Amino acid sequence: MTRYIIRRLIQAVPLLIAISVIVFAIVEIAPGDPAQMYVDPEKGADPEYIAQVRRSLGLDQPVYVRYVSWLAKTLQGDFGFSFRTRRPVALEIGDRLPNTLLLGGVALVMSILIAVPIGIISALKRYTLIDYILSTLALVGISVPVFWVALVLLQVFAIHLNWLPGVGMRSVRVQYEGFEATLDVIRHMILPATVLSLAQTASWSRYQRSSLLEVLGQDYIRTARAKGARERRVIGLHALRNALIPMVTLIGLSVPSIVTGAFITETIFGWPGMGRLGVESINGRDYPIIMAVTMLSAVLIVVGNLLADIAYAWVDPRIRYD
Amino acid sequence: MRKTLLSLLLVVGLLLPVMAVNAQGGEDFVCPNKGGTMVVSYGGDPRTLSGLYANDGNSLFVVTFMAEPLILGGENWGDKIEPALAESWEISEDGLEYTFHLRQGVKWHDGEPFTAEDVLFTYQAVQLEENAIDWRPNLMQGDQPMQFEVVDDYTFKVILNEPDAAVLTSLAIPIVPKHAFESLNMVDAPYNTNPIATGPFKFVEWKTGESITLDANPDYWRGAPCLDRIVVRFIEGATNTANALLAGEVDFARVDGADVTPFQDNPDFVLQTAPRDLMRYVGFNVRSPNFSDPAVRRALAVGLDRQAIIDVAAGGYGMLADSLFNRAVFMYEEGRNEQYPYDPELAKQMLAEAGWTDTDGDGILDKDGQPMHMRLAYMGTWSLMQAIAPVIYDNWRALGVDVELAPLDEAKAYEEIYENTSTEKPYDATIGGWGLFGPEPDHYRNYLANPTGFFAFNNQQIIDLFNQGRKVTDPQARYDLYAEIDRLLWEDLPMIPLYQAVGAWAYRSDLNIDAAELNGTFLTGLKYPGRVYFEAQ
Amino acid sequence: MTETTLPLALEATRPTPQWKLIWRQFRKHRLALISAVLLLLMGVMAIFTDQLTPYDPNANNTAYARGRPQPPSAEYVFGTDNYGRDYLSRAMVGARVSLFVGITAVIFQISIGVTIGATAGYFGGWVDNLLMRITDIFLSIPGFFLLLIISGVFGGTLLTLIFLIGALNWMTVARLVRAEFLSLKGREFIEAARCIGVPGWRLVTRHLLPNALAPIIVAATLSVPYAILTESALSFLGLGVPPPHASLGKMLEEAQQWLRTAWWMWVVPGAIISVIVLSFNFVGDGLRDAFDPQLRR
Repeated sequence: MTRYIIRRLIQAVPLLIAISVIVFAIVEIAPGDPAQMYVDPEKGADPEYIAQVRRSLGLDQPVYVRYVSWLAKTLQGDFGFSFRTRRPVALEIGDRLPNTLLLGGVALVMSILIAVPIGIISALKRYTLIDYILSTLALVGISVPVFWVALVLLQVFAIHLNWLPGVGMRSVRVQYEGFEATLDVIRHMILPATVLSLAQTASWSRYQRSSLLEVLGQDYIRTARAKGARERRVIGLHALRNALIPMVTLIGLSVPSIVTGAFITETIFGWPGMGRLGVESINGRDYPIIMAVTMLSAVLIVVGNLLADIAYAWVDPRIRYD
Repeated sequence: MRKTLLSLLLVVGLLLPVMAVNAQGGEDFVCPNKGGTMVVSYGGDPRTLSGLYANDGNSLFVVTFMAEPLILGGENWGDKIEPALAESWEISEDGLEYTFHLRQGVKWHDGEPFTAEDVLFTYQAVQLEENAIDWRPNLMQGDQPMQFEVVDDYTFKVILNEPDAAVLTSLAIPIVPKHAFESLNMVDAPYNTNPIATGPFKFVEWKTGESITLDANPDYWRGAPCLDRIVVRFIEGATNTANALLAGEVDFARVDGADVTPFQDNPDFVLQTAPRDLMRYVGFNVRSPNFSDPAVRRALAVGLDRQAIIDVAAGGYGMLADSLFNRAVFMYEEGRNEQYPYDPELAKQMLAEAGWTDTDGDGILDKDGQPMHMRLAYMGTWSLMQAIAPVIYDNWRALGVDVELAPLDEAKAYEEIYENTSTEKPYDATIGGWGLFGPEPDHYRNYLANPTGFFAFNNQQIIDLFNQGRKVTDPQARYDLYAEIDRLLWEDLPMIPLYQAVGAWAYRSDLNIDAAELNGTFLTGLKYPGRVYFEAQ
Repeated sequence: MTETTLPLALEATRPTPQWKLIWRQFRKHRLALISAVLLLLMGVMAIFTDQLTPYDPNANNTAYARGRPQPPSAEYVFGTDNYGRDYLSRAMVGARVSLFVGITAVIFQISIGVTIGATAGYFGGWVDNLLMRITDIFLSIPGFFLLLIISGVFGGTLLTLIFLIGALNWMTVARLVRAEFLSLKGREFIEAARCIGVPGWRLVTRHLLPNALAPIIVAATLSVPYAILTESALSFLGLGVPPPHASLGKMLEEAQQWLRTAWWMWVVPGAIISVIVLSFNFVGDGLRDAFDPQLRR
């Protein structure tokens, strides 16, 4: 098992390097000039000032020099400095990453807790009214644009009803301490986490349904039933355990869509996370941040895939690794 | 409805200078009620907290609460030349020496006294090229740096190489404390994220992506602020800001366009407006053969429904311009220039008089066989420009101008328009907006008396007048001179000024900001943030 | 097992054609059927948009709107936006753009996916290995963010958008086709074809691909929603289709500031996107069931 993990990790290295080349190349051939973001279009620009900025950002060196030095530094955990704030990128991201992981994690747990029971009910009550309703709802859930749902929820719960805060992660007027502070964050998290988990919940419940259905059609379930085992035991002991296995993989594989969701959800709800930082950095052409966010997202995805495989191997004894 | 709104705006615009005069010298202001936290919002994270590097809205917004220049009236620092950290100043006979008498007893937020050494340090740091500070051209005369001299702790002298009547506004740069820096080189100074200043509020904490906390400075020289604390919350987008106000998560913010509606006739909020130093225009490339004739440009001005642009692009929050200069410029006078009315029929007639008629019946005007084609370029990623362009297109098409819209991506827009320093412009006209701040008309020289400016405008008479304006120090003579420029430009019309933006600020109704003076030339909207208070319950 | 009796049964009754079986099964899925009809109607509408729109979708009526969106009326069935542009006409043009982006991006993505998957599956060995490594790399790219970056810094046009959505989403199809090829390769009829000297190219196009068609069609149908939603999300963040085009996502972005005051501004495009996407999902589901012989009852 350890050897398997190590081998997978080693395989991930060329993968990440390839991604780094792609990202760097995109930034490199991008038209325009990052120095421009130091210039206010309303005021016009002094070319000498732009040249000055370029020099101070190190943009006057050749491409490969910058790629190699960037890669070498990145490997040492030094992502350089944000063009915009001139603060270390590691610091900028370090501030935001935990917030994204928190929101993503909560959304993930929410999705599992809602999707699995829905999927199970749908499968067990296959072709009944309740199955049709749940399946249709799930399909609607993956069909509506996430940002649209976000806007509607924001409008209803944060503004009309004023039940929940719609912006940010913490109250700023009152600074809560201890348990109250946690409660405060939870209140702020309800809307964005709901939105972030929506698409996931919908698609997982569909997977859960079909995976349980597939298991229920297997011979060993029939055998168990034939043996006279009680239905509850058949489902609880045999079917569910096997039907949950593909779900484990699915969770790991869903990291990309959670990362994607974060970009939209965080922007709408003003959540101080990496996704919003990424969108802001694109608008501001803050290339060191853009590259760091991309690399970090790629690492998250690779790790997600890896965890999925390991979890799968661990849950399903039929899988062998050598 | 539209009429009343507009007249209201005009009244506000007219009253503001008067109110400001009345409040002058009101440094003995007493807070009717003390305490409380005001949450304000503006854009995203600042780029820096140093007054010297702040040149984007997000940074300037926060800095304006904390830092101060010697004198108000410069870019982002109000619409009038008024004493701030300098109590008074004298100008030598030859106009080359400016002696500033600094306010005594002013303390930095860390308790150190403020002296002339700090002013010298600030100005020298700005002049240092490696620092790449945007203010640098302010303290240079051509290639020559201005000279400075510390006479004593509270007397500071600026020595010029040649007279420059606009120098006072150039010197309006926020002062930084010498003792907070290790050297003049401050590109990566820790100060940039942990500033110390002299203003009414002092820096406490920055939660990236969330907020910045500023506490009252009890030793502030204008008197301790009424509020205990201001929290600047980062909220991107006008709609999100309005939502946060409505949800009670923000107390005071500028609202825009459509997002003003929920605050109108809303008992929980006060909505106040003030003109901002932002002019929107459609400018011509006056070297383009079709548009080199001022008569054609005037005709197009008459044929443009600028009020419709204000309605569509600014939600009605704009003042129809009757000058190429902003209202804050000292010699601006409403009604000096006769407004171009919107009258398409008259416009067609004027074009015909200028020799442009549709002789071949293709719907497009022509003269000497040349059709009136217009490539109208603008930054397509700027939503305001996107909103203005369709109206211009519609109106001028109706006159028979073959308008071709050219929305440019950012890189292209910089190349063609903003960084184009040649006299050749690849467009016939361009839509834009500029922020030229404060009372000083000399700032307009770059655009209106410069053949490489956006409009390639090269009128020797106007260039001469602008150059003269820098040397004249007598206020009345200066006034007359720039009034003449104003008149000439309005006639020649290298660009059609569309409207001057009006800011709308919405705030909780129990918040009192009358004494703080809502002023659109400050990014925060507040001239004296220390005088904002919550009304007693 | 009934293997021995099967040939006899086949001789006795003429086999029902494959497509008939599929159609019979598909028909049973009521929602899928309705969705397919709906999509057909929309497709027809998209083709004749220019003839069908009641107004020029880009014509302003500032005198009518005066900077405020106007509610639905007899003249303007879906109201107008703040320029006084007819919202129904804009929605029709927007729906056409969304459908166009969705379908062309998917055609492109399927072409890449099939080519790579087929090459890998047919040749196997180091070719397979290399192509699958490349697929892995693409799978680890945070695609949406990359799209954001590229359309943010390069400025997106409709074609780049289509190209990018296709270029970043072919991996599932490639894996699917490869797996299908690998399993088909070992089957008797392929062995037989090989033995009688059918050339490689013919083998792929005549025997392997048609047999892998079902999962490809299902994957394609289910990919369209993703492409449409991606386009709308990009537009919503201000990075999608540039101004001259009205897409449904763009309309939602513009509607953002009118959320409170003009419900039709966001209800109309939001509902249309949802209906299109939902329809594709239903049809995809229906097709999957129809292609699945186990489900034929």
